Amino acid sequence: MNKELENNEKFIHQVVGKDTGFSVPQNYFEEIEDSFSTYLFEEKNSKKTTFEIPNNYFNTLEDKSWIKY
Amino acid sequence: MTDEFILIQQLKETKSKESAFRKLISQYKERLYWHIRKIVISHDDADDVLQNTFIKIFKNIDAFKGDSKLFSWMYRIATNESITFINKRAKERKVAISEIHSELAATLQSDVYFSGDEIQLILQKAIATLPTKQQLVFNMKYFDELKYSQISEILTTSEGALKASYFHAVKKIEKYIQQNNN
Repeated sequence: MNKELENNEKFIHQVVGKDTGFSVPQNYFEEIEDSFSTYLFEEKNSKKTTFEIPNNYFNTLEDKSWIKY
Repeated sequence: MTDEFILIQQLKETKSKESAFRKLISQYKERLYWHIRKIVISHDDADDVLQNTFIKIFKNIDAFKGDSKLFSWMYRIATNESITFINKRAKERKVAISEIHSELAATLQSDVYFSGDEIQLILQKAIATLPTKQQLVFNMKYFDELKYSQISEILTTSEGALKASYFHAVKKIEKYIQQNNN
């Protein structure tokens, strides 16, 4: 099995080599870390607003006198 | 204390987690990317899977027990994320996984991020005909030149089974190339 494997591998290596042919956009690897900075920022800073409003504020908005005008 | 041990400790500490994570990305981004790319083929898909992989590593680092090398653990996450990606696409399209592999290899001809020649295209098509496990073993052994012991740690498969997978993969690929290379 070993000899046969060796020969099969050798054939592939001779015909194709070790290059997959895949490439990447320019600067792709340099920019990966930046995209994670965004993720880390979002992890640290919750999107939830800390503003509060009175109870039923939206339910009673139409009744506001300044809206009727 | 090894560099890896120190990095793991820093990753588990709240104060140093972020800077340690940046160091981790810097150190391992290319190796993980190319491993993922060989499975999912398209650059855009590999980019998505790589992001998911790093997010998973970030979220689960506390669960890393150190019973394998850090790289093997990350490589395993990357492998599982890639396989999940392919399986999900097959489920969405209601086709067999093998069909997804064949389609992906076929798209390489017009892929902007494939600069290989005809024979490299044939090789990718040959790999696409293999069962998933054989594809993984072939890519890790032939292209990444990992040892069987390392692949065993990543895929949690015995070295004997890996050697058999590799043997069959190489044989099939050679036959495919001989039949399709003019």
